[in-house]
Amino acid sequence: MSRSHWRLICAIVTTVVASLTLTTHCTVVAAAAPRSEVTTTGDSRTSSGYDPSSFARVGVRDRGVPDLRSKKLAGPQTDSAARRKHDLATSTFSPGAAIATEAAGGARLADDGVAATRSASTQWGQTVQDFQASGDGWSRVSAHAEQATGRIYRGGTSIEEVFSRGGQRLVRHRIYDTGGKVVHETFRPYAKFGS
Amino acid sequence: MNSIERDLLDLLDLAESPCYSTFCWLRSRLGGHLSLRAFLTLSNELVQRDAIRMWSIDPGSGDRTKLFAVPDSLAHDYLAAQALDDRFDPFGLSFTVGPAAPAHARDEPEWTFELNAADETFILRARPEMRGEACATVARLLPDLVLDPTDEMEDAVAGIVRYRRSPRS
Repeated sequence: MSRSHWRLICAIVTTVVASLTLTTHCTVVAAAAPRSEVTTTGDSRTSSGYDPSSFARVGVRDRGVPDLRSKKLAGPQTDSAARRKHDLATSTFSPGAAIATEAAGGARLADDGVAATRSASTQWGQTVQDFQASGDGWSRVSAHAEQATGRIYRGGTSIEEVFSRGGQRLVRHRIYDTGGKVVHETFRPYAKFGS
Repeated sequence: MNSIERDLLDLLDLAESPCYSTFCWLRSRLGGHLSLRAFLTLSNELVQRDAIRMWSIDPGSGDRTKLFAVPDSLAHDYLAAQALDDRFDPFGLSFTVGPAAPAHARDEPEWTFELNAADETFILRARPEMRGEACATVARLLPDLVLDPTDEMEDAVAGIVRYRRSPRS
């Protein structure tokens, strides 16, 4: 057998061994990972009111809630989602970076305020996007403004506004600097009660 | 109380904050050096101590449910969500200051303004010497409003509002 044949065989063997090692590693890491990195009291999805599946996913195929620990991270998962899942199972991963990447390519670019280009995957997210995009039919119900006194935004102004459209309500919170520029903006669902 | 907790409480003092937005905001404050897992772990500790409270709000009904711990699947759920935006939480989760929050200095605002759009009324709470500045700020930041004071009190001004244009922008 020629030297090139031997090289080819060695390359194939190396690739196969590397694949098997990676697959085994991922399975072991996923299985060995604690049930949760954050301590919870029971199954929070059913006992505490949080259920991401209730935020009906729209515009994308419903993949359900991913559970790394029940999946073997091997096979033809070559898309970015599969890579992120693989990274999540390893100890060196920083989900924030992956999320930042997704966010940057998603609804907007945080720094320059580029308008939405992708549709949010939950009904609530789409409600916010719709409000941001046009605001058709939305009207202000109430507003609360106050001088910002905290360390970070001292001298600015904090304004919370409640908007409604039909049966929908959302809260927009903005913080303005002394020059009137929006330096922080968030949206959340309007809650009827609780504090 | 460390600086991260202090920043977080500083933000929550101003208003309830969506969970994912809070993470992005804190990460930005730390120059990007905060992983989602670290944030959720920290948040969970604070929730367990009741220093902050975590809520799940149903956007349809407006029902608010208090969570006693950060859902253990949350990191995965964020990864599964699409078009994440630092301005809202895709699952309607949010934080508020809890009753066991460490004492931290926070000055009371010198003025507050409440608008009731249904009644077309407002009330501005401020000392007399602060009212001019407060009214000017509100008029600048909510330019659709025209404030027409009708009742001057010792610590507040009440009145009616009119609109210049659509109250939306």
